[in-house]
Amino acid sequence: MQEEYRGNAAHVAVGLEAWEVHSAMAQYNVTLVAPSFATVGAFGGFMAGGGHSTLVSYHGLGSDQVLSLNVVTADGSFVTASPAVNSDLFFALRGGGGSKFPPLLYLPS
Amino acid sequence: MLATLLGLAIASHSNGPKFGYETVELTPDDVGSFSAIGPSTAPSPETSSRPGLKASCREFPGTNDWPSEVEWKWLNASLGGVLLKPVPAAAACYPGPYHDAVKCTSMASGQTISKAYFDDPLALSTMWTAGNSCPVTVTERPNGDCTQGGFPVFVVNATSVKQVQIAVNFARNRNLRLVIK
Repeated sequence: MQEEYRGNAAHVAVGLEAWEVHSAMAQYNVTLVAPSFATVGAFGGFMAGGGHSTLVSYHGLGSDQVLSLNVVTADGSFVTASPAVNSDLFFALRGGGGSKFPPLLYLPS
Repeated sequence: MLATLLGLAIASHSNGPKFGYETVELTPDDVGSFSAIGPSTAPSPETSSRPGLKASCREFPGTNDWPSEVEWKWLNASLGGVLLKPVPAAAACYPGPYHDAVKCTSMASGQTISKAYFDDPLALSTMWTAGNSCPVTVTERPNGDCTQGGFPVFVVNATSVKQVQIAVNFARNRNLRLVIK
């Protein structure tokens, strides 16, 4: 079974382009797996579609970083999607492609 | 139109912290009698009572079931006044009430840079990717014209979960096309 993750995590909003995430990484001295190209939506299509970057050999894909997602679904409810709760939605949002649901934020490692 | 906040928190389990805007959610009191902004009450488009129309057809301005002016006002009120009705940015280049020569010239020099449209409520990146119904032009008498085209008619400038929920519910219940920037 999956071990529970213990360690640093970041709470990040979607709607950020990669250059904004890069600025925040410098400001807070953390590393997040984010797109290399400045205007790609970091936790929109990048995370939702897989997320290849220059760090993929070290840390894996962008979608592999996510611990949990807070999402507004098409029926208007605000839910958490994680391995424990709404796990099918959690699976679909990480790599299933963009233009599905609008995630509001999540916790990558 | 989504918030662009970044916060850092140290968390060791999945019940993490929430940004302020995530704690403001839609409640039944907020919906009140304006059921269009709440959970589905009407039949889904697939079971619509309009014969002959495909379920995939959405309402747009001019159709019978496009929301009325009053409903848009109610929606704006329920959102706390953040409903926008923007025109394409390049309307500044065309004669009419939005004409602005200074803005048009500055747009012409930056129109291939997607950052120039970062805060524009209508454009996703550069204008031509959305059908180019209002191209930037610096000629005094443009040959073409500027129309809304495929751009949204209304935009919700959402900065809270509640506003996103209201927008999603309204678009679903009133069978409107919803795009998210």
